[in-house]
Amino acid sequence: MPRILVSHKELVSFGSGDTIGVNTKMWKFRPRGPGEFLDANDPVEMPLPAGTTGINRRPSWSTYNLLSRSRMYGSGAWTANMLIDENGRALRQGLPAPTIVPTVTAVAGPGVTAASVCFLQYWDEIGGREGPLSAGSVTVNLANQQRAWANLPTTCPDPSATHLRGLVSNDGALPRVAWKRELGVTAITEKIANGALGEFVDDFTEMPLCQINAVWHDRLWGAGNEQFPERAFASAIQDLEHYEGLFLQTDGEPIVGMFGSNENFLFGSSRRIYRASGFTEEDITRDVEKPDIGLVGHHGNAHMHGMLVIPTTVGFYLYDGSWHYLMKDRASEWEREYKLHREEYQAAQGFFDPVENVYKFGPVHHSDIGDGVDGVGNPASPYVHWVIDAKRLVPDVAVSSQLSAVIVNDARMRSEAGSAVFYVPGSSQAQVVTGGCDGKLREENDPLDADDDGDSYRKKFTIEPATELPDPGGAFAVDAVTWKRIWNFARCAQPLTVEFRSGTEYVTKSPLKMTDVVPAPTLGNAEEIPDLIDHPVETLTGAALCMRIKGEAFIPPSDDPEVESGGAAIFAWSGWGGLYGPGLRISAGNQGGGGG
Amino acid sequence: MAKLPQQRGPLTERFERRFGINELGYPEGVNTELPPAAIRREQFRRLINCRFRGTSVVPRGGQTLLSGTIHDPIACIYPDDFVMSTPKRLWSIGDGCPGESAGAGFNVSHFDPEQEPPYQRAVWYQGGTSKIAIAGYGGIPHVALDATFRRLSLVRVPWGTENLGLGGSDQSLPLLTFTGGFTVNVVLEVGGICYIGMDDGAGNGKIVSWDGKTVRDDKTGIPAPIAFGIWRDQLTVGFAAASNQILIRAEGPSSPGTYSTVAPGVGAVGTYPGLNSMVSFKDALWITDGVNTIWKYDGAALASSHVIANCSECRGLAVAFGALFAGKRSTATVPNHAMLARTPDGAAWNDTYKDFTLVEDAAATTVRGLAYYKDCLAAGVLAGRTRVYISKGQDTAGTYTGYLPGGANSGPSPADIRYLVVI
Repeated sequence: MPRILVSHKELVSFGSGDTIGVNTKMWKFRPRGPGEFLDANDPVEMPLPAGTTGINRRPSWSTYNLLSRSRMYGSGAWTANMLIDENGRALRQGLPAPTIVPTVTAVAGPGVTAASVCFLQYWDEIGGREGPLSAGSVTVNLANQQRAWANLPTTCPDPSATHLRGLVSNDGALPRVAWKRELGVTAITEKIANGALGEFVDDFTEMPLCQINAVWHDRLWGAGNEQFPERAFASAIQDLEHYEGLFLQTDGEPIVGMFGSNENFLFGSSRRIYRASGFTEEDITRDVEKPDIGLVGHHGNAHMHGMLVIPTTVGFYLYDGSWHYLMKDRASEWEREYKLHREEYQAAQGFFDPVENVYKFGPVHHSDIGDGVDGVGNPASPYVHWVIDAKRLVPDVAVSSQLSAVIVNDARMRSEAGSAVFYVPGSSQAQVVTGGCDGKLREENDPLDADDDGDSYRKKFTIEPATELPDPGGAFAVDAVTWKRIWNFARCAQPLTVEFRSGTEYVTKSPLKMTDVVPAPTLGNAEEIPDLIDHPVETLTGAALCMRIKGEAFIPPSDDPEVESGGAAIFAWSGWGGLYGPGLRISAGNQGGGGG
Repeated sequence: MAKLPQQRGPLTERFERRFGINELGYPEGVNTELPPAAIRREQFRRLINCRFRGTSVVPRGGQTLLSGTIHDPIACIYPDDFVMSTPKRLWSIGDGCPGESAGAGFNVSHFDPEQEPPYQRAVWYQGGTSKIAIAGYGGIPHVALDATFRRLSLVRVPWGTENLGLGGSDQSLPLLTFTGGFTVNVVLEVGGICYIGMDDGAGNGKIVSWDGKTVRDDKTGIPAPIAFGIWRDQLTVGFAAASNQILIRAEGPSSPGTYSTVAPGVGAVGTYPGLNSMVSFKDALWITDGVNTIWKYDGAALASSHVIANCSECRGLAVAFGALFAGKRSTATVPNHAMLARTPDGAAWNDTYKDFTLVEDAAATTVRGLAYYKDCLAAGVLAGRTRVYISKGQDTAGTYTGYLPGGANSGPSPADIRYLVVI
C-alpha cells in the first residue's frame, strides 16, 4: 500500500511574505518491509492543489474503494478537503463549477427539435472526476436545428480539470452529457439527438470544508465546518465527492468526533454522544446515545478487535453496540489529566497496534509522570500514551468489572506527531510507524532497541506494585512493622534502582526511605538464587511498604519465557516478596517489639 | 553459605507476590482509584513503559530509525497507509522475455510500486510466433497472442515473489480464436466496447468489436490496422504509411461502426504500431510515425506538425502534466541516446528535454513505450537490460528511477518493450 505522509513545518516568524503560517507538504513512498530504511529518493512529494495551504493540525483520513477507484479523503490539515486518488495525486476533493454560463444559439440544421437548456461542467479525465454544473443557459428552442455553444471557459481554477463537458436538458428532462472536449476549446456546434445523449448528472456541490471525516454506509461524513459546527455532512451514496444536501446535527454543540460501528454511526460533542442509523434521507434516524457524556475528540476513536475504543470525557469506553466502561480503576486520574491538558487530549490520536496487541492514545502530558516519576517537579515532562492491553481485555469483554485492569502508560521525551500501521501488500505483516516532529519516521516495537533511537528519556520504566500493608485494620496497622528483607523476582543484568517508602497505607508519595541500586552484574544475585534480587532493608519501619523499581535503557527478553535470554540490557520482573515482623508502635504508649 | 531470604527469625512473617504462584494471577493494569494498599495484588500503582508477557512485566520495545530527515528537521510527520483495492499497474509487452530470452516468444510484464519486485514478468508466451497485443477491458488486462484473444487472470503473489515464477507460462482464460488466417495487431477499449484490429497477412484488415459476449465485424475492407488511440472519446485507427490514412470511428456501441477516413493534404501519414503512437493533446490527435515525424489532426486537417531533430526512432507519445512527450533515439551529436522530447503547447518543442543515456544508464539506446502512470512519467528504455524508468513525480526532467524486470534476479537477456499501457 502506498504510504502517505503529511508534514507540517510551522513557520515561526510572523513577518511578511512566506514566513506566515505553515509550510505543509505531502509525500508518498512505496512499501518496504519492516525495519527497512527508506532511501533518500523514496519519498516523492505530492504537490498540494493550487490554492490550498496547510494547517498545523492532525489530518483526518478515510479510505473508500469502489471498483477500480481507490481513494483517500482527507480533512483538517488543509484549507480545503483533500483527496488522494488511485493515481497518487493530491487533489481538492471537488472540482469547481464553471462560473461562465454557456451562450447557446440555434443554427441551421438538420438537427434536433427540442427546448434545450445547456450546462457546462469541468471534468478530470485522469481520475474520472466531475464538478458541479454551471448555471443553465437560456432556453434554446430548436426546430430541426443545431446547437452552437460559445463563451466556453478555456481554463479551470483547479488544474486537475482536463476537459469541459456540455450537458443538455431537453424539454425539462435531467441534464445529460452531449459532448466532452479538452479545455481550450472556445466554441462547439453539435446536434446530439435526445436518445444519443450520455449520462445524466445530478445537482450537487463539493463537500463543505470540514475538519474531521469518516466513512459509514458508503457515504463520506464530514464535520467541523466553521459555519455549521453542529452538522455532520453526508456525501452522496458511493459518490463521496458529491454533496447533495444531507446532514445530521447535534442539539447545537459543535461536533468534535464521529465514527461508524457496524449499523450505527456515532457522533458527538464534548457534552453528548448521538447515534444514527439508516441509509437514506428516508430512513436515517438520530438518537441521543449519551446525554451526559461527551467525546474527547475524533482521532482517539479506534477499532480494536472489532470493537471501538472511545475516549470520552470520563475515560475510555469500549463500544461493541453496548458501552463498557474501562476506567473504573483510573477514573479520577483521567478526569484530572483531561482537565489539565484538555487541548492535547482533544488533538491526540488513538490507534490499535497489532504488533503489540495494544491500543495507544496520545501523545499527551501527564502531571504525575516525569523525570522524577514521583509526581513532584517535572521539569522535563515526557509525552505520555495511555496503553490498553488487548490481550487481557478481549476475553473478559462480557465482564465489565474486569475491563479496567489492563491500562498502563508509555512515556517518551521526543515530540511526536502521529502513528500508523503499515502493511506490506500480499502479506499480513504489520509495521507500526511513528512520525516525529524532527522530520523523521521511526518503527515501533523494536525488541532490541534500548532507548527509543536515542530519545533522552531513554525508555525509563517504572514498576510500582500495590503497596504492601500486611495487616490492614489489625495490630500492624497501629503498631509499625519492621521490614527485614525484600526481594524481587527479576531478570536484570544492568544497574537498576529500587526505591522504598514505608509509613501509612498512603505511603506512595512519602519521602524516600531507602534506595537500593542493584549492581546485578550477572543474572542472579549474591544469594545464588537465579532471577532473584535481594535488598537489605533492615532499617525500614512502618505499617505499609511501597516499592518502586526504576530503570532505563532496558530491552525485553525473548518472547519465549523459557528461553534464557542473554544480553546486558534485558529485564523482566515477575513479583516480589519479603519478610517483616513487629516494629515500634507509632502512637504514644505501647512500645513495639524489635525485629526478629 | 549465603543466607536465603526465606529464612526467618522469631515473630517474622513472610509475604510473596509472585505472579502465577501463590494464588496470584496474571499481572494486570494500573489502579489509582483506590488507596495504594487497597488495590488488588495483581494490579499496580504505576506502570510506565512496560508490557505484560505471561507472568512477567517487561520493558516495551523501542524505536528504530526508518528515514532521514523528511521535509525539515522541525517538520511534524503524520504517516498513514493508503489501502488500495484494485491494483493499477503499468503493463509492458515485448519480444522475448527479460532475463530468459532476447527474442523467443513474447513476454507480458507489469510494474507497480505496490509489489516486490516492482517490475515483474507475468507471462512468457514461448510459443507466440508473430504478434502480441494488450489492453484493458473492464479494468482487466486482455492479451491477444497471434490469433487468440484471452483474459489474463493473474495468480496473487506474495511480497517478494515474482509473478512469472509462481504462475508459469500462462495465467489466462482464452476467450476467442480468430480464423481465416487473421491474427491480432492491436486491441483497445473505447466506450465500454473492446475493439480488436487484425489482418490476415495478405493485406486484408478488419476491426471487430467485443462486448464481453459477442464478436461482431465493426469495419472490414481496410488495410491492416496496426495502431489504436482515443480522441474526443472516439476510436482512432492508424495504418502503415503505404495506406496514408487514419480512421476515426463515430461514438456509439453498435457494430458495424461509422468510420471517417482522414488523409493528409501533404505527405503520407504512417502510424507506429501499438497503443503509444496516437494520443489526444490540446483537443487534437497526435501521431508518431515511428521515426521522427509527429502528425497532428485537429478535426479539420491532418498534417505533419513537427520533425524531432536528430531522431531515428520515435515510437511512443504520452501526455503528462499538461505537456506532450515523445520518446526518442538520437542520431547525431549523441548517437543512440535514449531521450525524451517535450512540448507544453504543441508548438514549441524541446527535442533534447531528457537524456536517459547521459544520466541514468550509459547503455540506454532508445525509448520504447511511454505512459503517464500514477502521477509519474514512465518510459520503457532499451539498454543492456530492459528497464522501465519512472520519474520522481512531476519532475520529468530530473533523475528517474530504473526498474529491471524481475528485480535483481533477472538475467542479462535484454528482450524488447513494444509499448506501455496502464490497467
